[in-house]
Amino acid sequence: MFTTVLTVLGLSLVFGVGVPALAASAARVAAPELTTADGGTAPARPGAPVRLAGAVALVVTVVAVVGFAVWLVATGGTK
Amino acid sequence: MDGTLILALVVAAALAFDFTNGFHDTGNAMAASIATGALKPRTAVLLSAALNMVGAFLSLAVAATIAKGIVDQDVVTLPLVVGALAGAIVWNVVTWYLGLPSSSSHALVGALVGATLAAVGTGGVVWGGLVLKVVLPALLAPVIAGTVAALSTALVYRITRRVPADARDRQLRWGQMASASMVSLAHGTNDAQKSMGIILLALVAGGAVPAGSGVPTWVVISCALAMAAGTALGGWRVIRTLGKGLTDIQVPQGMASDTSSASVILVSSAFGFPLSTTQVATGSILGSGVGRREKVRWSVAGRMGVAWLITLPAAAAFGALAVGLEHVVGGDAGIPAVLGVVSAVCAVIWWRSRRAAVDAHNVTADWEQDAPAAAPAAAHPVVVHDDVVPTAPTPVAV
Repeated sequence: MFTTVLTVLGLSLVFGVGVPALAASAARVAAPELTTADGGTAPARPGAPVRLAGAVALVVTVVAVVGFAVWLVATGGTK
Repeated sequence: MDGTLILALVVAAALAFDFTNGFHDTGNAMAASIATGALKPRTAVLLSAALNMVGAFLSLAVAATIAKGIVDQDVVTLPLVVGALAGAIVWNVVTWYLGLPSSSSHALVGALVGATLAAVGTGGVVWGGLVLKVVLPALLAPVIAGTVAALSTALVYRITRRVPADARDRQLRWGQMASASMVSLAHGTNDAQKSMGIILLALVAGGAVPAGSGVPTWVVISCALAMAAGTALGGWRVIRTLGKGLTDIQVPQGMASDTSSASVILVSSAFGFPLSTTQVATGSILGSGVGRREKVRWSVAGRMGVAWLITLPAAAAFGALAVGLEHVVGGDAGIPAVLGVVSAVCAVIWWRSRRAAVDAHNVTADWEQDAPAAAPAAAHPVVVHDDVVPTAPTPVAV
């Protein structure tokens, strides 16, 4: 039972924290401008195509992780 | 009365419970998305309905636990199953009226235990399975979900701290929609299974299938459809309590809390734990408020906690009462009598709920005040529906 609880906690942390972190990273990468220390905004670097590619890569990673989770349930839970 | 007709009534009652489970738990997946405006209310419930139906087909592990792990299959009879369903349905409808996000799962398990105790005594309950598969997960799941959500929320805000809020919310809104959809899917994998397990119990008790059988395909399909229909109705009362009553949710919190809920529920479903998705979702929302260091209405959370604590024994009491009524009426008339009483109770509660209706138009109104300690959470916010003149305090119906 203890092992099962730890497994549930561990997998929940991996998906529950990892997926939002990836999504937030995608938002951070895709943002066209960022706030500065003085409260203003400045254009983000590098160029838009690179940022867009990075954001897409992160989103694809998120989708892959989520798909794995669903596959895990679909195959692991069906008896 | 013909045995087949009795069995049909029992299956109908199980599907009715599944239906109440649907509208009672819609808020678990969609409350945060509706509160933040990521999804329109009606769109949210329809999306949730569709995904609940898909999720019902993904996993059958929880159905096995309900059918075999809580009570001894050998002592289960059709009157016992009806008593359990009657107790669970009544508790679900009462808490729905009060706007309390209590656990439909625990209502079913509690009513099943109560009905078994009334029918055959303590020997019919698998106490070890009840503790290991229901009570312990019930205690641990909200804590795990809250912890995951708190960490996730803090990390999301940390990562996006330099992104302007409007740009951040615009992009994370898509993430929130996706995570809310996952919760609906996860809910289908966990909650629809419970009705499947109960129907399987009834089929075994009625001699329609041998003991140890798997869940028939028609049972899976009918439970999935019943769950989807209930979800599509939209449990606006509970949606309001979860979305506005606990904390003021922003888009990043919504995404973090929904992802936390989906993770805990999906992983637990794979292990066959019949979790309370309500408790997990509530724990996640609370955790997201803590993670953002936002004001949390602990008084509302406290009242939910009280509802959670009394759900198992209260539903058990209703289940036992239903079995008692069947014995008093006696014979084949017992089951129809109990179902008639349940139908009457549901009709009265539905009629009362229409006095001050909460619907898609006013579900996101501001939460106006904290409730007095003795009053249910749903009684606190005064929401004016177009054709209702409120008298304070006016229950906000869903």
